[in-house]
Amino acid sequence: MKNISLKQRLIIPIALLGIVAFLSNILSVINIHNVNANASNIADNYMDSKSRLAEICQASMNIHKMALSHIVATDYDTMITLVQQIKEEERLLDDMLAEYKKHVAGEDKKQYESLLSNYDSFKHALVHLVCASAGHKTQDAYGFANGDVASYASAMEADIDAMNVSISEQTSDARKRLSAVYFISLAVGVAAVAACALLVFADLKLITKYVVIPVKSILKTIQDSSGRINHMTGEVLEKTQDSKGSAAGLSALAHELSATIQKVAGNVAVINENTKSVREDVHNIAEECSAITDYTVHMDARADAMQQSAQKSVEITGAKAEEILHSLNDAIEKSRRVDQIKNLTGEILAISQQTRLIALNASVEAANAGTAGKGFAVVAREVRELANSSRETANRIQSINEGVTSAVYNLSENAQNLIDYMSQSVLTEFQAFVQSGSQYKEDAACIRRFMDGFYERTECLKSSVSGIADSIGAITKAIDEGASGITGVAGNTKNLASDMEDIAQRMGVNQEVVEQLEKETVVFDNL
Amino acid sequence: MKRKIRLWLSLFLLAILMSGCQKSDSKLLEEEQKPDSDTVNLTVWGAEEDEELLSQIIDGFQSEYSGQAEFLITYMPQSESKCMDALMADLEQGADVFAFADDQLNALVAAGALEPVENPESFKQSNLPEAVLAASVNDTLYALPLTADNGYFLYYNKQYFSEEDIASFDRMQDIAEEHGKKVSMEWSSGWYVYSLFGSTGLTVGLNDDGITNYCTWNSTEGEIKGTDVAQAMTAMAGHPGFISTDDAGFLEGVKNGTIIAGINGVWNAVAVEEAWGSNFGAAKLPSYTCAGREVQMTSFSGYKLIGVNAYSKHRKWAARLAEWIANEKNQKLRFQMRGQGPSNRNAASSEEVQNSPAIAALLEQAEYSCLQRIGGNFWEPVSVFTANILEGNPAGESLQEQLDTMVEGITAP
Repeated sequence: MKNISLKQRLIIPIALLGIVAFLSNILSVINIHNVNANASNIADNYMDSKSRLAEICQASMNIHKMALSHIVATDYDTMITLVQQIKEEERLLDDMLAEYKKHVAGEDKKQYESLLSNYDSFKHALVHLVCASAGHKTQDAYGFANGDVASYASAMEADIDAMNVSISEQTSDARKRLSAVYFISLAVGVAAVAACALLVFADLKLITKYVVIPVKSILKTIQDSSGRINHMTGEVLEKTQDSKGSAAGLSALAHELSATIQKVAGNVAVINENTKSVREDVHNIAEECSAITDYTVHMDARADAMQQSAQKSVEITGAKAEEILHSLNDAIEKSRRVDQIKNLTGEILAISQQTRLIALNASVEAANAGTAGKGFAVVAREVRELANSSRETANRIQSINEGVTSAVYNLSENAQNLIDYMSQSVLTEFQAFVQSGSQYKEDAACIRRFMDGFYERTECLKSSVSGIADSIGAITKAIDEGASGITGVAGNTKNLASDMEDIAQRMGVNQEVVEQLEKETVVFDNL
Repeated sequence: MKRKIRLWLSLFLLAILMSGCQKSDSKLLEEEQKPDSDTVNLTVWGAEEDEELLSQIIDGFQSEYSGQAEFLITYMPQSESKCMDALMADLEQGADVFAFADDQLNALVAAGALEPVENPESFKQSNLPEAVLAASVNDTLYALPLTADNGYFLYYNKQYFSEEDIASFDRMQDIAEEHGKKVSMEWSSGWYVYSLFGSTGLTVGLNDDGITNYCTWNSTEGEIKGTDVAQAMTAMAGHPGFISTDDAGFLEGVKNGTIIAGINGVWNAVAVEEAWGSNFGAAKLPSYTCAGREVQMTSFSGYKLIGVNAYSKHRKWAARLAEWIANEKNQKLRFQMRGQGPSNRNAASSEEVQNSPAIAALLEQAEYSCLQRIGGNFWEPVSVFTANILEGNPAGESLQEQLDTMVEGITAP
């Protein structure tokens, strides 16, 4: 027994149990087959035969009843329905009888033939009955019903009864055979159960000794190991969770830094753009300064020209004013001769007055002279009228002369005013203008000096702004590179967090495996 | 080792599965029931007058199917009106194929002598609807329509009657009397007597049971009473120009010249036309005087059908023969040889049929006819009643009493 290995110790009793069970089953199958054969014989043949005979009997009775119903039917529809049912039932009965033939054996054959013959006659009789019934030959129909139809139906019934009796006898024999088979099967079964019980007992002993006890020992070891692994896994898991948190924080921080740097880079870019803009503006200012400087040179020249022109104008205007003054004074002096017209007209008036008095005297003299004076009176009247006319004319000349004299005085006065104006205001203005031209020339020179200084400073500013723009470009580039580096750091930190997550998951799986292992080993606790 | 075990296990399971399938329905192909190749014995019943026609038709059938079976087809004369009685006497030994009047259809179906026709739709489409109706019970076709002429109308000799004369039966009797001749009508059969009652408002017909009759021919109410018709019949019977005679008497009278007009069916059309030649005339029934007014005579219409015995030993061949007898070609032949109106639509609409005076008269009369659906108790009491009228009522019995007796017989259960 000591030379037998554990494997053999386990396999041998189980194999023995299997062999006994197999043999027991084979015997059971054989016995069941025997029981089945006998039971099938009873069920299939005898019981089925009885059942079919009952059906045949029932069908023939149905046909008989329907035939009788046909006679008492009072309308064609019922008759037609009945005759169709009779034919249908006959077809079924034909099939049933044909089917039944396989159950017929030995002495029953003769009885079966008799049944077929009687059924055939029964059908013929039915045709006559139905024809008589449909033709309203009711008496004839009843005659057939009570005659041939009834007698053949009875004969069929007798045949069926005889076959039933025969089947009952055969069934009884089959049942006896079935009982014998049952008892044999019972004995074999009991023996097999006893053998199996012995083998099961032996198996239990062997398995307890060689399997259960060693397995329990191994199990304890496994459970201890699994406990330790579980504990360790828990710790690793915990640490991994912490690291995962830190990595996640770091990742978030790197993200934030990256975002800030990117923002700074954005702002520097804006500054860079602005600096470029300033540089362009400074450049433009320098250009404009240069243009203004050029302009001041021209302005200086123009101021100089203007001063000379003003000086020349002062001189010409002075000369002209003197000349005009002289002419005007002369003209005014001459215009004062108009006053003499007044004197002359006064003298004319005095003459006319005197003339009118002479005329008056003449007329008076004429009147005194009478008719000789008539011609003289006419001349005196003409002289008086002429004197009147001269007075009126002299008066008109005096009136006009007054206007002319007034105008000449006005003209003289205004010419004096003009000369005064020219000599006082215009010449003074021209003098001021000459002074302004000098001042303007000095101002232009001063502006030019300032603009030269401004241009020099602008050039310096331009150079400085270019330097600033280059420096800011370098800073932008440096910041972009820094941002890119920080983004890479953030990605790496994320990967680190993901790896930590993966480790945590795997640790979880590890823990599940340990738990499963523990659960599995629980099964063996009851060994 | 493991593979071998698996293989054996698979085979074992397969065997179990297959044993389960063993008893599944293995459909047996239904063999088309082909006509037997052995000698086919068939018996055909038809009217005596149709012997020659049927012989030709049967010959045609045998040559049509000559290669398919050996035939022994026997024709036996059998009156179509009496076919049912002959068949019912011994149905299983009766004819395989038989011609009969449509009023026998119900009884034959009720006796199981006829089975529903296979593929009825083709026959329903190829025949006149009224003929299909006459061959059907509860919308099921049990026989094939053979003719659509089983009615009656007026034959007259144009030598004696104008078209106006034939409108009145009284006028026709007077003309016949003048010439010492007769106008005939068969009163021994209720079939013809119906024509006098049909339009009077008095009724007769089949009850819902399909067997018994209802009848008001003895009515004492209404515009026309039963006695009014009886008195008109009495006057008619006493007229010297009138004669009541059967089919044979009518033909004989036509041939010997004593009968110059008569009410009869198409089956005698050929014979009458032969007798009268160009004077041959046919028209719808005339009117007659009843209760002081002119009443249009009506008629029963009927159809001849061809049936297949349900107990025939060669039912398939019998059905083919029946179909052959009733087909379009043979219905045309029937018209040509026997003057009988076809039920087949195509045959009926042929020019030849349409030009026949007898068929035209029948179609004209169709407006005043109804399908003959009457129980067996109708015929005998009517014959007894008319016999007494024809004899002039020798016992002097009251007409109302005679009508009551007749109606009692007709409506008897």
